[in-house]
Amino acid sequence: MGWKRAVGIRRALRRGAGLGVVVAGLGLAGAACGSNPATANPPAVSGAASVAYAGSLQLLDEKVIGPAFSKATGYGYQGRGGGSFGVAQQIQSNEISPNVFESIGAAPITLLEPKFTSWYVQVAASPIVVAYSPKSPFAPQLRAIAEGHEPLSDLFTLMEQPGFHLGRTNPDTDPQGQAFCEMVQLAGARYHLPPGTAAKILGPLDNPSQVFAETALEARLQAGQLDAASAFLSQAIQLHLPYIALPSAIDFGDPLLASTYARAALTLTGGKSVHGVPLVVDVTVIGAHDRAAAAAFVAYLLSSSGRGELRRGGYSLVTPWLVGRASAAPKAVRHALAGS
Amino acid sequence: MWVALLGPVIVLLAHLTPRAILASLSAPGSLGPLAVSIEASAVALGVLVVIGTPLAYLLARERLPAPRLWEAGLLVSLLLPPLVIGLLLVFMVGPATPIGEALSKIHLSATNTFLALVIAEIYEAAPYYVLGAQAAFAAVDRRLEEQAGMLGDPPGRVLRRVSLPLAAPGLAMALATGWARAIGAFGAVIIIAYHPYGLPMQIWVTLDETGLASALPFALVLLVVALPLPLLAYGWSTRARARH
Amino acid sequence: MLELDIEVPRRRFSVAVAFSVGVGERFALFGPSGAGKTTVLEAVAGLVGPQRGSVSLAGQLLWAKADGRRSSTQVPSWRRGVALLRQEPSLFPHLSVQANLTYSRRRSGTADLGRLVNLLDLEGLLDARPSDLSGGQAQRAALARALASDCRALLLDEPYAGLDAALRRQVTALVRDEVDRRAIPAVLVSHELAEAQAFADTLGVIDEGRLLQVGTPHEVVLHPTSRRVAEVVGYQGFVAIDGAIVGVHPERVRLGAHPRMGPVLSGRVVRARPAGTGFEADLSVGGAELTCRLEAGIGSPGATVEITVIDPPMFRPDGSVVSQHREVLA
Repeated sequence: MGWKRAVGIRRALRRGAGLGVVVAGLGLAGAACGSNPATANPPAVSGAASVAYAGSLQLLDEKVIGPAFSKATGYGYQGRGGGSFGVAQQIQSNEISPNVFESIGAAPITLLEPKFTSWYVQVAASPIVVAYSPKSPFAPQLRAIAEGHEPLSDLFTLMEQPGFHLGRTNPDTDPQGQAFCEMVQLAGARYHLPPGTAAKILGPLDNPSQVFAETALEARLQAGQLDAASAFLSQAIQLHLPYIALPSAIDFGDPLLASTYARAALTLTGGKSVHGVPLVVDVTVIGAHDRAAAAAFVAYLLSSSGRGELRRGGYSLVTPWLVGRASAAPKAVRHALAGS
Repeated sequence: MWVALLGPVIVLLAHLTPRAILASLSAPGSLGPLAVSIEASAVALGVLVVIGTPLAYLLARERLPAPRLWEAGLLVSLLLPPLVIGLLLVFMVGPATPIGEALSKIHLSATNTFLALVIAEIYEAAPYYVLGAQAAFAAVDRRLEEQAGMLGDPPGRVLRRVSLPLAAPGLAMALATGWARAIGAFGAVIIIAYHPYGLPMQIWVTLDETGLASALPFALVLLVVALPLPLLAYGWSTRARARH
Repeated sequence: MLELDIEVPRRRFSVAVAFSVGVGERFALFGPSGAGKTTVLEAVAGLVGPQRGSVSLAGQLLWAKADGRRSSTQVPSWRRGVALLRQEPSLFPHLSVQANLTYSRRRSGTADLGRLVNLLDLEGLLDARPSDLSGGQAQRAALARALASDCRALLLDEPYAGLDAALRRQVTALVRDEVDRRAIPAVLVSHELAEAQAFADTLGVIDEGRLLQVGTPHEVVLHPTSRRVAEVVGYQGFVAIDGAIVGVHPERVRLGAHPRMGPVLSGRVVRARPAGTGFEADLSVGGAELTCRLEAGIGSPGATVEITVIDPPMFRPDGSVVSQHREVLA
């Protein structure tokens, strides 16, 4: 409490003091990150990173990265979540005005170009897995597959059985929902499953017996009402759900395999056609307020502490990569990219 | 105060252009959710009237054992956030629950079906309707019912000739509130009835898919469909009350 | 014939009464507010179920229950054919006066509605809504509605509240008439003695749920059988003489000594004031204060006067009656 007030006073003192102070603060933050993230005295900086993130990042951002970022840099942190596209839509219609946007996949960010931003950085990838319920009657077989005692192709023969209850999210609104459908397609080719297997497993795109809101999906899986469901590795880890990991050729978690993923395609309900893309965590800075804090957050994600936290949270690390107009990115971000 | 209350509605109207409305509503399949919403709410309300009205009457006349317990139950369901109701319904009527299994025996399912939508709407609307109807019945002077009985009417006929006509204005308001709750139900719906899309789900999904501009017209449709009944009921009940 | 012998528990005491009312007989239950009068009527009408006892009407058992057992007979209120007119008219507010009058599907064959409407002066009001009526009009309409049904007993609970004196007399006459014509028992409940007397053949005095005395109105007023009855029917002074207590009714006192008519008391004038055609005076007699009505004026406060108490009831200290000075009444 007292600490917060102190920051507030400092903020008031330094308001209008100019870029020099901010850069100095940043330098301090960088030094703190590099040597010891648990620095006792927070550096003198002002502002807060206001982060809008894809819903699957919620737990990691709120419980781990947000607090660690504040501690390491002295900036405030506040976050809000939602579907990546939903968040982008809300930013576009000025319903919300965060200064950092962490999206799953670049498409939601490109939706905001060029008005809000013209660049983004890939920081990690979020592979999908098949989470399953330990209460399921299929659990022994699913566990055998997960532990490698039975071939992964068996998973798809299991899922196509009429009594198998599979859950996934809405492909029309959710990148994970799209990736899961595409994953089944790719698996069909990879394991030489009989033609039509994907259709048998998935049914129609918005199959009412499979498509649930994300919250409901988790609840039903935990209640044992679904045998298995689509999930990010990070979610399976956070919710302590047993899961079957997939090879990177079909788990959408490796940006280098983009061309492989692109072989899968879906036609959405609105008639739009989409191709498989890696599920990367892309992040950008938008808006003008507290830009230094926003840049520091992105830089933190690229620091060794941030990357460690992402990895432990179930994300696979990729070589950080700036896409778009590099000159538009804040200096701190470019600096961090160069350093990593 | 009044303007502040109506603020969101004014903003809604200010943000809509006739062209946007037309474009959204003429898109293929866009009237489906409207039909789904009206049908599901009508069924939900029908069930509520049939079950909730006698319950409300018995509560108002304290004819039930442990009346406070019944009322507490209604209050709890009134106070629970709809999202929580939805999650609890998953554990109550989902597959692999006794109720879910009983339903599947008669080839029904309360997961992402019309039935699930109706159930979610019933749970969101029930406390509003039952408590409203209870208040309407409680406002009927008990001595009038006794008088009708002494003039030779058995209880059923007393209900028809005295209690219902006198409670009618209040019942109409309760019904209108129940209708608005049911058709606007979202929290429980998104959990147990992601499909089929009614208007609230359609608004949510459209918002995620294509943004606010195309979602708002559905909000207007929801308003247009949900509002007339409450307004009519309100107008009628004020006039009826003035007459007595 | 209405016969009842019931016990109904209430918060402070239980109402335990037994009496019968013959066909064409008018019974008035008189007592202070809260004595249990309305409870008795509600038990007859079937609105409350006595814990014990029986109610029967025209030879039909309406209620019978032994202590602690489930009732063996329980005729519901809508099959009893008992009309109850309450202090509040309880007209159906959503129906016209006409529809109120014809509400009962068990309409009386003997009472033709037109005549009732005429007698109760309701002609111009048939199309009105109950909310448009004055208190008196509403009460008359409620009476007409009760009489328009084919009732086997008529119960009146303080029914004249909204009526002025002239109308009270007229309505009382009408009710007496109807009860006669239909040969049904009628029970009126009132906390006003004059109203009960004007109505009844038989008067019952009720206090704290107990029926203390039943008799003709005259008998009960002139010869109360206990000090409590005397108090309830209007005796206001109680003076001890030779070990007995004399009950003094303000209107049963004559100025001067007339030993043949009753005991003679001497007292001091405390206050005197004009009342009606005579005077009312508060006297102090042997330490007790009593009020009496006198034809002529008496001295100013402090003066000593002699009065005769006419044929008064006399009580033992425990309140029971001793004896009475009898007098032939003209």
